[in-house]
Amino acid sequence: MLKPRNLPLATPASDPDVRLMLRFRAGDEEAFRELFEKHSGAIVNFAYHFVGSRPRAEELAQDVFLQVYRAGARYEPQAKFTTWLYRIATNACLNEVRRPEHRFRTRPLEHQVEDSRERAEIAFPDPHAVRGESALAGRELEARMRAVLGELPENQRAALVLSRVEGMSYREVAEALACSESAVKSLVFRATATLRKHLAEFL
Amino acid sequence: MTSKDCETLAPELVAYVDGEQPETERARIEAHLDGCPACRREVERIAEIGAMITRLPRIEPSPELEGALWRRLEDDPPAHARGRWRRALLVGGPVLATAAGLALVWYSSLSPGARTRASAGRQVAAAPSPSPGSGAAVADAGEKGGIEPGLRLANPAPGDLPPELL
Repeated sequence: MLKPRNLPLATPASDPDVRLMLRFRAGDEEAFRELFEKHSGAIVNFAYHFVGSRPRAEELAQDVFLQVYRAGARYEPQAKFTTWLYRIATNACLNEVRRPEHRFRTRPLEHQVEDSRERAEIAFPDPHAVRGESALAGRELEARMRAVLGELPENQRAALVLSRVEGMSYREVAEALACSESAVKSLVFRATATLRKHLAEFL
Repeated sequence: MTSKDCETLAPELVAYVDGEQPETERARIEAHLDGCPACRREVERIAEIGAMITRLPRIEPSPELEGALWRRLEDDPPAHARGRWRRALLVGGPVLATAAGLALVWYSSLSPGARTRASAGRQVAAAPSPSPGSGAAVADAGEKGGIEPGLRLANPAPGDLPPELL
């Protein structure tokens, strides 16, 4: 149940992704392709948890890797590559959800539940799923979960997704969000309390 | 065990479940949990919520994702990527220079009459032609999207070239 995550961070030099990035800085585009192949799926999913739209999540992932590519020539390893990558991704997602036209800003939670339920049915058909109550409950839960995630304040959502979905330690999340570890602790606690309240019927 | 203890510990339980509490705090929480079924249940719920989030289905990126990224990079390459042109010219330059030298030798070896005929042929070749494959046709295809985006970099505008090549 408990995850011992209070481990020291890997130094940049020991991070194979940092070494790839340094190869890319030296002009090896294959190294960039390797980084893209390795992390693009995770970044798409991170963005998807954030914005709740697959096409927009893919566009955001493109934005993130464009920034990585453009920063290649002046890259200096100061943290784990993924910490840096998720800092870029978090900023891209925060900018996106702060745009006035972002739908989660204006739609009530009930509508988001409907929307995310539709998405769950369209985007994640599971041919092996058992038809009946448990499958329905699973879709309901996922729909509700995505809706509540979309409703969380942006910084809470960022901290929660980085910590729980991406498995980062609070220290890594703090680096990615450029805040203190105690701030991350508080953000994750408040996000969890909100989820607990809205998902009470599933617990 | 008092409810005040529970209230004090409540904000610490999420970090406890996440394994983010220092050893001393951890020991204090576990001592409390040993005698408090309500807080033990709360820890279970927090862990359950964490597991629910982790179990959210992940999506597979579409196969077009990488191609779309490269198209965007080709449309607006960063300065350091434009160095590719420099590398291309470093490789292609000597080949072009050799070809030009051979052409010059060949032209010098021609008799005056043959030079006139060669010049006339060049003028005919330079005349506009509506045939497919002419410069105009290629430009038109480019505007209509008939040329793949990847090929656009093979003909950069002067502004795309690094200063040392201008």
